[in-house]
Amino acid sequence: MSLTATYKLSARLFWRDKGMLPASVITPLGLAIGMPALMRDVQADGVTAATQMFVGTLALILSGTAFLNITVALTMRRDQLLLKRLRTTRLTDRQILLGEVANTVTQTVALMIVSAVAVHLLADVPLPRNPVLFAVFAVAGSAVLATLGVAWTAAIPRGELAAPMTLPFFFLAGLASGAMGWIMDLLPSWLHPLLATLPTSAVVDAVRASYGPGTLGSDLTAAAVPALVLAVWAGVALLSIRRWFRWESRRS
Amino acid sequence: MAAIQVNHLSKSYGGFQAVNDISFEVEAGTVFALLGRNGAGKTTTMELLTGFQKPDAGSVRVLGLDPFKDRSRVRGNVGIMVQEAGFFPDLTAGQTVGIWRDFTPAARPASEALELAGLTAKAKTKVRQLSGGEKRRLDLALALLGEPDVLFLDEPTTGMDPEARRNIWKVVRDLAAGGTTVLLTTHYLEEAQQLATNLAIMDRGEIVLGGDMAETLAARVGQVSFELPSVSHAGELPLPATVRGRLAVVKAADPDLAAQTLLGWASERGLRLRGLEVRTASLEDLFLELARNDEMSQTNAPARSDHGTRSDRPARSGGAGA
Amino acid sequence: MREVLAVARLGGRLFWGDGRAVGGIAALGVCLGAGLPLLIAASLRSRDVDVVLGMHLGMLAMVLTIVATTQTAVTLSTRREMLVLKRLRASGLRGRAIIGGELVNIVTQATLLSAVVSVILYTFTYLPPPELPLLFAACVVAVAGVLALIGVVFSIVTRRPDLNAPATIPFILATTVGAGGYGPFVTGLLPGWVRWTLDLLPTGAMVEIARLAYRGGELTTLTGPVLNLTVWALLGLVAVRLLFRWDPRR
Repeated sequence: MSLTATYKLSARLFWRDKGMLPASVITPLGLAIGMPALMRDVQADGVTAATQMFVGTLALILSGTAFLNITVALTMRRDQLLLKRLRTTRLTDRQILLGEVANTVTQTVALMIVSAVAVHLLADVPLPRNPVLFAVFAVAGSAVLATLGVAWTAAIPRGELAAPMTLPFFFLAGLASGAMGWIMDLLPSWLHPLLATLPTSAVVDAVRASYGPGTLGSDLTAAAVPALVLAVWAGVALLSIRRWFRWESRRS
Repeated sequence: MAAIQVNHLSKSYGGFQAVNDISFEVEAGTVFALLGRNGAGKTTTMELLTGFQKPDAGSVRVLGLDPFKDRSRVRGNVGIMVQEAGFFPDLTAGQTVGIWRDFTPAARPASEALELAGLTAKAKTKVRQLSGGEKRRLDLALALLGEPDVLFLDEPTTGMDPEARRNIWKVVRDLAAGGTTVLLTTHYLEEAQQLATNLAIMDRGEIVLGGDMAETLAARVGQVSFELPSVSHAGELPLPATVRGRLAVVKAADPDLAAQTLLGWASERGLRLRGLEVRTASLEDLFLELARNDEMSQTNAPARSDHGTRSDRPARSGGAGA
Repeated sequence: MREVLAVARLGGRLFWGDGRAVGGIAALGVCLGAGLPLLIAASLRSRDVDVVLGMHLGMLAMVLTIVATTQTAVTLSTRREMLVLKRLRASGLRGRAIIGGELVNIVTQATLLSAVVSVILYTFTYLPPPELPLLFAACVVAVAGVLALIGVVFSIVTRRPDLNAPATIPFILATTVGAGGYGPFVTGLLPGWVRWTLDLLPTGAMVEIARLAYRGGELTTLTGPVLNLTVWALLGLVAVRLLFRWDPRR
């Protein structure tokens, strides 16, 4: 019951917050739809390039709508002592954070689905061949990114630094998954496997498999490493939250 | 049975001993006031009692449970009005109460909670438009939602006008009459005297005085003061007095009795005691007395004279420009 | 002027006194501003000063936008919300001293960061220092100032402090793409009108001036970019003058 309550509160705060929507919804959505649409028109092999680009931009949705958003919201609420106030109620710490994470996952997955449909209509990007694989990694990826966002708040001294300290990940994620063009080709090759271990890259790899040709068997093989990567990041996030999460501003 | 039990509780931040080995109990259904100057350790004590902080040493039991370890179980029967906690500025007072009802099992109807806190007229007002005192009342409405057995009020009437303050007092008294245990901190001595049956006065993290309100006050001296008749001198008075200028002051445990004695003495001699004033002990006197003792101990031990600049807690870092 | 410096000193003390914030911003700026060009220079098979310089300026545009625009927007609206601006005003400081002091402080940070990033690149890559170092420095200071001024406008438009940083993200993306931070290919892919529009951003002007500073050339070709920065600065000043609020929204 209480989890639904925190979920409802987070959702209400998110959607009634008209000011936040351009950043948390419109920008990632615009990039995820606009960039592939641009590719479709300017590239020779337009549809393939658009598909490549679209799958890459999912990393931007994940790091913008899930990671950045939850980090900014939680640090601000921590600074305004709203988390403290929530803790005066019967809610457990877990319920407060889970409600926030669950809400973030809903929004992120919704945006991923909307953008998949939109690029299908606007840029002829096909729908995923294996929608289950797409869906599973959309949900798991959003959940891991949101949890990492919760963990990252511990490193942020003040709310106003939340966005500047989180933006690099947004760019790193976009860079690593090809959402920012082909800078990757310019980077040294030893860096590629490192960038592939980012949680956003793991999701993008699995989703790429769900778009490409393959069978159930090949999909499972393709999903194995990304699943492992996400599991490791989830573990890291949960342990850091346990160890370092702060409910109130630092007092030192 | 005691609703709140505190045993040898200590807490320090960095090198600063905020709470130092305090013990007290609050009987169920009574109102207990925690008094002290800024930096005395009241808020830290409150944070320990409400389970926001973990004690360094000693124990706290609220309704028999450890508020830190069993936080969610304790929360079910406890209402907390914290001194510093935010609201969502863009929700209205009514919406805030509505959302909080979702968090609270068997919550009062929203209208009832708003009514109790005197906020019915502001139900549709956004929190950011409420005054400081109105925010305190919204805080109270949230604390009362779950019909708690124990209510923690950290400076409940700060920022309120006198009328609002009296209304809150009435609510607290009614709740206590209904069996709710209340622990409150306050700067206002009158508030403590009006509401509380028991008290503890804290200074530098320690309880310097505590117990039953009436007994505590009775044990302190009252005083009778008057203008010493020009024909008399202090030695003639039937009771020991100190004289400053022409003003004689007689200290007595029962100032009414002392006044009668003095008046009797004066009428036997056909004298009048001009400007006669009888004062029973008040918390105010108690505070002044404690402060005076404090000054004296300070002149003896100047090394401890830094307490005036301390705050309840070390200042939070950050807060742009704050 | 004394007041402006007093406010700048206050802002500076708050910023530099906060080790974590300094570390965070410095690490971010250096990683973004120096890291990517460094890696690219290291991995290119043949020396290609053009690509490295392009990346350097593109990433510099991104770092300056984050440090100047985003930081200013967030800092000012946080201070407004916490009533610090009101308190400063109550102390008798004039509005322009308060905002000006903040700008001075931010521009100093941005300039220092740019210097660190550039020196790293001169040391560890074959990117040569600019032919006209003073022009490059002046350009960084001016662009940081204009970007910070735009940050003030952001703090007016998006009222809540938690919204400011996310609200500037589209702007950061635009300045970065426009300045070539996404690599030469992406910029090449953009339709002409998009490129033209992006060049109108202050960072577009920065790239032009900085390129000239690195390579040397006729200063008279800079009329366009200088005019561009002037127009942005004027627009910003007018918007701030007309719209700036000291109190939080009620």
